[in-house]
Amino acid sequence: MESMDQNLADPDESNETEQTFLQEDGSTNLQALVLHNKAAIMAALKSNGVTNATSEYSGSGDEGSTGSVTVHPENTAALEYNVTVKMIGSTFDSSAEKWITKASDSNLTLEQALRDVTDQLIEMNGHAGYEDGDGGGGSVTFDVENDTVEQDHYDCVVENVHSVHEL
Amino acid sequence: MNCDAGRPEIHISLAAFPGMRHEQAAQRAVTTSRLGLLQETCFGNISVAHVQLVPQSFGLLSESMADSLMAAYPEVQFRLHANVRVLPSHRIADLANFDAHADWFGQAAKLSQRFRAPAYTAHSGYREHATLEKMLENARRAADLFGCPVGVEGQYPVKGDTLLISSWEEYRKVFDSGVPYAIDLSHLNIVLTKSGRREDNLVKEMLSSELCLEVHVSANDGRGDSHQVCDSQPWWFPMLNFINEKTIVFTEGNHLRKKEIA
Repeated sequence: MESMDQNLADPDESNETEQTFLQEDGSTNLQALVLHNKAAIMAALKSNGVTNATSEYSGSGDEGSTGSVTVHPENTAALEYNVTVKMIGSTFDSSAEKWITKASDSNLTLEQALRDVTDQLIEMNGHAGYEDGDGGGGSVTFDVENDTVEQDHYDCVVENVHSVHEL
Repeated sequence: MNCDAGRPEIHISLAAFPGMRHEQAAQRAVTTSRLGLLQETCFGNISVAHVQLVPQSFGLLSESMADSLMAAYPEVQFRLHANVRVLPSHRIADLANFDAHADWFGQAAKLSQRFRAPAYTAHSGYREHATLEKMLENARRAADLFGCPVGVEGQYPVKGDTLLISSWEEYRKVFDSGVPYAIDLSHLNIVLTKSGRREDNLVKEMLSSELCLEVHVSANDGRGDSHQVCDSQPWWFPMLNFINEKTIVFTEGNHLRKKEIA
């Protein structure tokens, strides 16, 4: 089992531009994206009196998905609270014959935002494809009081006990 | 070029690029293909004439994303596979829990039709959700919904034998049912390892049938479906010659993590 404390520092949003979230080659600056979204989600959790939120994910046999999202203290209404996060999206510009990738504001429920940031952390921390083979899973916990985000990831590994017997 | 004449062309599944967004993975596949760099040791050049959109790709596969993919790569015939992310909330939708995820299947069917996909294939799913017969019936209902052939992909033995279609006997039942299917040869490598026997005649029969919509290939050590790139010829390699000419073969080997088999 692997545990990873991101200890992500809050971004200075005043300095954020489109380029903050995109690399020169058009790929995503996931660290910047997660930092931004962490700040937005933390603020939303705080304003709803939530002390921590956990998003779990698991999968095997090529099928994986984010499962339960829980908050503490229990507060179903908080999960429906709207929060604006940055999401990366692309469209193909046929006239220019190139993909236009943008980081744009998405107004999501807190539950969906937590799921999406979980996906971003899975990719950022190199666990994409965890659902292949024997699978894996983990959780992402937002600790409001300590302002930390922790991803606890595991990969399942088949263990064989091998014996040879000869007569 | 393929390894040998007579052997089918191998196409790319975007499972080769797990964790990338749909459009990023498609772009990687098409760009490297155009440069002649989309290759695997065992199969040579990999084709992008058919591309499979998969659950391992991140981001929402929306109608607008579908349109963008088709505009960007008009030479590519896209199709959906398994529980690709067509709704904001990712689902474990498979043929065993077809009714529980009716909204997901409805959206997947819309997108499949938008792509004019010739087929859709899904995992069989878990025993706790359906019997084998019920799951096969769901596959027939899914075909009505999608308006194209829908195939069931067999699985392999896991702890507790929770997955439907995990034995040679169940593969035979699928074949005899007349329901279309996808054969994942790497799954059969696990069935072989766990059962201790090969059923070459059944495999050849299934591969050569018109009911075989897709064949999936990748490498593993027989213990788990690790989606490795085939760097040497597995036992099933000669059987590729038996694949029906209408069947599309996809490689699911992970091109981002070309791990050696231990």
